[in-house]
Amino acid sequence: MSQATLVQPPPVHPGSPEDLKFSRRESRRYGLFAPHLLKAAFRQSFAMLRPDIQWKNPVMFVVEIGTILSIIFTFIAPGAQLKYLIQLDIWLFATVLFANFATALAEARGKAQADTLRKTRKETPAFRLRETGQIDQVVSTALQAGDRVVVEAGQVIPGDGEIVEGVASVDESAITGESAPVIREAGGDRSGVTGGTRVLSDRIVVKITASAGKSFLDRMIALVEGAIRQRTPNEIALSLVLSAFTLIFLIVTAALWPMALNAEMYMQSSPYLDATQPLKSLGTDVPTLVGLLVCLIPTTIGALLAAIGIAGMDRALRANILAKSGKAVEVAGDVDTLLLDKTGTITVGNRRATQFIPLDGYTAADVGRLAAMASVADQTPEGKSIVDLFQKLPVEAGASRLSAGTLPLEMVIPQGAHFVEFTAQTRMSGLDLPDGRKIRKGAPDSVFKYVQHSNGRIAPSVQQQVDEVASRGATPLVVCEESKLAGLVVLEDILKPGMRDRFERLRRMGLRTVMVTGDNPLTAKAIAEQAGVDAFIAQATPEAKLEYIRKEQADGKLVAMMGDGTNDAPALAQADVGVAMNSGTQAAKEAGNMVDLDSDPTKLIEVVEIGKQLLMTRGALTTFSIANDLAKYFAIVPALFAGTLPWLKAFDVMNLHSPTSAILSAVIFNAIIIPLLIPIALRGVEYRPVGADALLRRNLLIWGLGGVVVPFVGIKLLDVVLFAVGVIQ
Amino acid sequence: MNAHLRANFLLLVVTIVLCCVVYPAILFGIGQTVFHDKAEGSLIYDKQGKPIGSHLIAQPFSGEGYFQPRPSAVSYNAAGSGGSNWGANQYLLRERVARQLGPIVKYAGARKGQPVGPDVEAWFQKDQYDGKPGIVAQWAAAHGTVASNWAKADPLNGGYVLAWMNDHADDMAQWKKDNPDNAAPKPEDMAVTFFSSFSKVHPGEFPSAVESATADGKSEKTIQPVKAGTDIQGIFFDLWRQEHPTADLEPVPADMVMASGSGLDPHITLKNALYQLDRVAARRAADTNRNVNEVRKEIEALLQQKKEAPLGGLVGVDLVNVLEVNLALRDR
Amino acid sequence: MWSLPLLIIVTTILLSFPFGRYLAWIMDGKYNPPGWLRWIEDRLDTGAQNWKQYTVALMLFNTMAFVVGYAVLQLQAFLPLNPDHRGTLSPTTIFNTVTSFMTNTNLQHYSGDQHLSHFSQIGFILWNMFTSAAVGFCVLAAIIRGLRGDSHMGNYYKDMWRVIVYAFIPVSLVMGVLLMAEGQPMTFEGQAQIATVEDGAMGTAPDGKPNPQMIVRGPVAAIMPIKHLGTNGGGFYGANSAHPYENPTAWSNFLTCVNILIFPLSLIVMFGRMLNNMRHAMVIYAVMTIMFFGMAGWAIYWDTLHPNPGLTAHEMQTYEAADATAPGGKRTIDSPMIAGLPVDQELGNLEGKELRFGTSAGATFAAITTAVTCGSVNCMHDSLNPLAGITPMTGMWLNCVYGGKGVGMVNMLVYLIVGVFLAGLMVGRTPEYLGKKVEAREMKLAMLALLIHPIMILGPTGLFAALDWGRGATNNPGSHGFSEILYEFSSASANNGSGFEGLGDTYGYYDNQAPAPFSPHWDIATGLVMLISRYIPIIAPIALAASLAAKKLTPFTAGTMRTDNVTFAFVLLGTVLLVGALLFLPAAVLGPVAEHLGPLPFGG
Repeated sequence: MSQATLVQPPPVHPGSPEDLKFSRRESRRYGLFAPHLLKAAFRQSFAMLRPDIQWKNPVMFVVEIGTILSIIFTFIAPGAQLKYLIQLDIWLFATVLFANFATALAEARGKAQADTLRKTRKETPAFRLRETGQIDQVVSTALQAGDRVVVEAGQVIPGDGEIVEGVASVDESAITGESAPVIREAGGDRSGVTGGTRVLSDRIVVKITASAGKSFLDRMIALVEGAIRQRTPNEIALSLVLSAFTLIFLIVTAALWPMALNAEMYMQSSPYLDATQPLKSLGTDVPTLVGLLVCLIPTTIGALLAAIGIAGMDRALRANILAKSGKAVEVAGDVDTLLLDKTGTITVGNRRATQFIPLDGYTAADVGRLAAMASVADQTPEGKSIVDLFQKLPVEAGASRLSAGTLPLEMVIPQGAHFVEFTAQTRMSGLDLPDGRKIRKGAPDSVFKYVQHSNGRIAPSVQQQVDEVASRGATPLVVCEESKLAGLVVLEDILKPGMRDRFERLRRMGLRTVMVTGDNPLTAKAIAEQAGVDAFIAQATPEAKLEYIRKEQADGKLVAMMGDGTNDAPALAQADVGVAMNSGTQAAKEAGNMVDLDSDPTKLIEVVEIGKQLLMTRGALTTFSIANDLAKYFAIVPALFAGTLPWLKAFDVMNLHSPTSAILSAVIFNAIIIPLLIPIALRGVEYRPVGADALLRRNLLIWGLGGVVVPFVGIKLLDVVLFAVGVIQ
Repeated sequence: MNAHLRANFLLLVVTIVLCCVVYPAILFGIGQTVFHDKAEGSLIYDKQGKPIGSHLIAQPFSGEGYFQPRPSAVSYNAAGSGGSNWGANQYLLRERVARQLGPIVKYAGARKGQPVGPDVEAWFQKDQYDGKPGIVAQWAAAHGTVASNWAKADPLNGGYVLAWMNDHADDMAQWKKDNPDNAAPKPEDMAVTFFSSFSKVHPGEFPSAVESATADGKSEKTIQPVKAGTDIQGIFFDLWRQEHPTADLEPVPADMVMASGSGLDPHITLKNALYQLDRVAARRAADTNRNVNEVRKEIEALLQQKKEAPLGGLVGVDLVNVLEVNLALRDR
Repeated sequence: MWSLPLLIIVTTILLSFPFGRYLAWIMDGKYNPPGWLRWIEDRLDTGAQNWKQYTVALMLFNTMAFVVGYAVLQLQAFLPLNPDHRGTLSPTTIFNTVTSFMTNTNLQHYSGDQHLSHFSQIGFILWNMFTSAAVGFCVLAAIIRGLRGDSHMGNYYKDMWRVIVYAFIPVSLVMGVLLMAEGQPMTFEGQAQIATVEDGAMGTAPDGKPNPQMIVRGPVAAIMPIKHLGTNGGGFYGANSAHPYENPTAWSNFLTCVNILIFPLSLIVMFGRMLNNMRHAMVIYAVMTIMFFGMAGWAIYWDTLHPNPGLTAHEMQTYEAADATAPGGKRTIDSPMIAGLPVDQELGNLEGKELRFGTSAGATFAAITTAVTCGSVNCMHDSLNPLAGITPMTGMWLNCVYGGKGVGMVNMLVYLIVGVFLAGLMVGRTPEYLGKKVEAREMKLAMLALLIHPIMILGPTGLFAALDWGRGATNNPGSHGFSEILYEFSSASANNGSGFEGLGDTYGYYDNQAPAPFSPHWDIATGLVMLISRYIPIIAPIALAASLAAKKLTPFTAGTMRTDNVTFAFVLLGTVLLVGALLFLPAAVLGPVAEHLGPLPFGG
């Protein structure tokens, strides 16, 4: 482990995940109705009337063409009353505007975020380090990939890159929103720095990895602005369905014209009913048929589709996840398997010493003292926790040989003692005392070998004890004095609170969780069981991870993982959703298709939820949009033929005031449902991890059945209200 | 592609041989040997071996001494088949039913058993409908299709209208002025105008075929204005009904007035047969000078004996095969 | 009343399980035929075909069938087995008829008993009934192979052979014998000349002699089994299965109904068995059965339990019509009071019904024949009560309430894909069907198949309704006339073949002096509709299945939408009903609903 000891733990949000969600939601709500956004979106929705822009959304393009047609017919050959036709035109026009507004609002929100980001992308001075060692000052925009720059405390890092020299604490709040500074240092998994962040202390040399304009920030800005937003496969499939429905309803509506003409003709030639005068219905009135068409084609989802997609990206961004494409977010919804690093995700930070187990002739305090002495030079979190535990031991317990606990440990270590650092070969650390005694602490195997080497004896019971510790998910370390085994130090993982519930939720969502750990299989198994994950990969190497991902993918599963190190890069690239931690290396960030700016390992779960929510919102609004049509038929069809087949009034179950009020109510309902649903489109339909079946039932009930019922109520209400205020007659 | 063509051709030949030669040949063999009579059409032969009907095909009967089958939209022509294809909103359906009902409907209630026909005739002769004179003119105006169908139905009717057309040049001129598209109107085109004119000249009368003896002793049918008869009872029953909506009439079994799908349905319901029983028995009794009640009882027994029901009565009501019953009646 | 439909459906469902199992066994080639059959089969087997090859084979066969069929009808006057000397039909009628039988529609713009020779009945009608029915069957088999991820779609020629030889012919033989026992003729004699019991009952000839009753006979019993088993429906006689020779008794009617349903129902079982996913198949089965009960129940309720409203009393009604040209924008239309005729309609509407089949038989048959695109009729649909007429139309519009053999399942598959796509999104995953992701290509093909049907029905209906082509051919007034036009194109597009037969669409012989005025228009228009609506909706799903076949199988998890439970049944039912309603509600309202709500009778 080359992890720097000075590194602070990754920023963990305060409070439970639920708290977190709540506060996020609050911020979204505020953001949604921010007046400046509304204003910008309003202006933009007129600009988007241009046919070449509308063309990209076939459903709304049809509405726009229809509106134009309707307006032309209103003035060229008005078939019905002018007042009604003008109102109809206005509402048809409003439908287009509302749709534009939805898209524009989503874009404006993205843009607003982009603007904040852009502020950090100001031209900053950069101190370029020449090969010769000279430093010259340039502007950040002139930097090329491969340039090295020096950044001192207080300066802004001029571009994305990797630290090649030095350690510094960096304020990344510009990107992550977290005010706590983080440590970045050369040569590890935390060497990546982002342009626009500020060095708070020390001096580092950064190798720029992205030329100006192609930096992380640039990409992010471009993405949220929608400039390079590409339609995702699912969105393409859905637009196809929507276009097909539009075409079908075009036929349905177009065929109504001759059918209505047929009714006019046979009614006209019916002396029996004394209807010898020509009868005319709205069924042959082109603007009214346009109104019907607009009501039938899936305008609701057609208007909101783009907004949903943008909002998906936006939601990811609000969760401080930077997806490299919309597709990545969408795929996250499909993920079957989550690879989760044990450390930091399932357990809190690192293992801690929790117990000293003495062997023959030693007390727990002895073991503690020896272990502590052997750990003084061990700056790993485990080492520190051993010292901590020892220092917390009651004084009387450790009083036998050394009055520990009251004094700093350094003080009791004799002068001239020699620290033996941990190496990957020995897998031990220790202390050589001036009196020649050698204290060692390390993995059982290594220590046993060491003891045997010094002709020591290992009681069979020791191995048993070691196994017993391991089997309860803890990691045993063995401490020895020369050839004599002193005792065991028990290192335990501390599970993060609430993880079990979370995994249970994931299971209900249909996801399999796989814990990845460097621990031995026995420990890994115990922790896996405690945490409630479905599987684990023990003694994981980067290769093993890659292998595992490939195996899962061969079974048709989609795999998501999170990683930070350079050696994670292949696995990140292989995974269907690879989330790189922002604190990680550039290689990792390049390999993954998302970057978590918070470097929070539990973020994967959120990513999956955002992906699912994105797909769900699309499905729910499409279903709603299509289900709406039924009620509109009941309003419009009797109205269409009120002039020729008045007995169809019996089909008008809503009992609307007049044919024109029925049609206008339906058209108005169809128009205003768009802005009313904007919040849902932008926030997404609420996702509940209850399993596909329960989720489907719930959504079918709300969006399917609701979609059928709501317009009946809405149209009737509009009819009553609009009639009361005299807008329609 | 060659393989495709070869396989396709082979498939074509093989299926033609199997489906059009082997398969029908097997059925033909079994049919002609095991079910020979049925395979030949379930025909009924008389003593001379001449076919006189099929068990499965309705045969028309008009005599009062026979049970009558359901009306046929194809006039019982088994070289064609089919229904009226008239929907509920087609007046011609109602008109056909009403026309058939007029001569047979009886009163229920206080005047139970009395025929409605004479009342219709009496009402018709008063020539007042809807408070206005001219029943025939009003009828033709309201139901132009029925009127023109009358003109088409029989060459005699057409000829009568044609004669009228030749006699009424001024009416013709007026009509041509109103209908400039039709230069050479046929009698059916003129029917409405004709009836309007006829109604004025012959109030309370209707042109109907009357059989009379000619000079050479043969009988001849001519159209004459008449005051009574089945034509008036039938054609004007619906109008009469509109003015007498509350008259208590005995409902006629539907299968007596509603045509079958094939036009060849050989059955009527037992209920229908029993409705016709009085008429049949009366006629049979008169022909043989026997007691009506006795004859009635015998025929009823015959009906009960001949009755059958679909799937043993599980799915339908009792029926009788009209031809079989009538043959039994004839052979008594 | 209700016992007949229940008896029919329960019997058929019980039979469908062993039968479906047998069909799966056949189509998976697990049988071991005797040597000479094997010899022919091996000649036919051109090897495994991908979807394109399968489609080419199918289209090639149909093209050849068209040529052969055209030749037979065109040469009818010169071919043998023509005891009644039938002449040559008009060219458009031949085009329409050949198309109609090749596409399994069996729309008849001719009258079998008046226009076809025995040779045409056997050589053209019978042959097409076997082969066109087999085509739909094969398509389903190919699609199932795609859905279960086979590397190929099978071999078209071999599939055709299997269906005809191991399924259609044996069952037809058994049914043929049973139906002959009930009285169906099987003869090559011409018309029987009957001397009526009452002299002159058929009228008298100009020379004073009584007219005989002429009875057309023919090889009826050979055609009837496959007419129904193959959901063909083309009648030997004009009156179709209402004719006493085609359907002599209540028992033959029951057998006929079972025959119509047996293959479509068994194919669902076959679908489940071949896919090895019976639960999914049973969900589809249940949904179809629910819809069927709805259709049959509706028809029986409105037709058998209601009198013909044309004869009953109606109150005076005053309607207010919106009219911009009238004072106050309103004009009143009065529908006068009508007194009822004294007709005892306790058996329901008997116009156009036969008595021997049972009381509810007409309504039941109307539901059955249109549910499975058979198109055979045992009552005249044109004379059904107005609202009852919705049942056959709905059957044809949805076209998947069991649906034609093979084709019905294929149509259902299209609805399934649409339903899976929308509902699948709602569980927050890319939609999957049978473990395969449903993406843009699949949706494109599914929507293409879905589009054709409404376009081919509503487009031409509108065209004909507005022109004399349609209005000049109807024999009923007002909305019912419109319904006749609508029905005709629905029938053509659904490849059903039944009709509101009052429509004047028969030209007859080439030398006919007074044909129905717009019959050539009808011949050509419905012919084109049949062609388009047959081939596109079967080719697109084959491509769709092939596209799914090529995809990786996604494992089933708790997050996957199940396609084998009650929730999914509701999704499927909802999709079919909602999409169906959205497409055809206005047309239904203008036709049957307007007729029911409007004045009865309507003018005249």
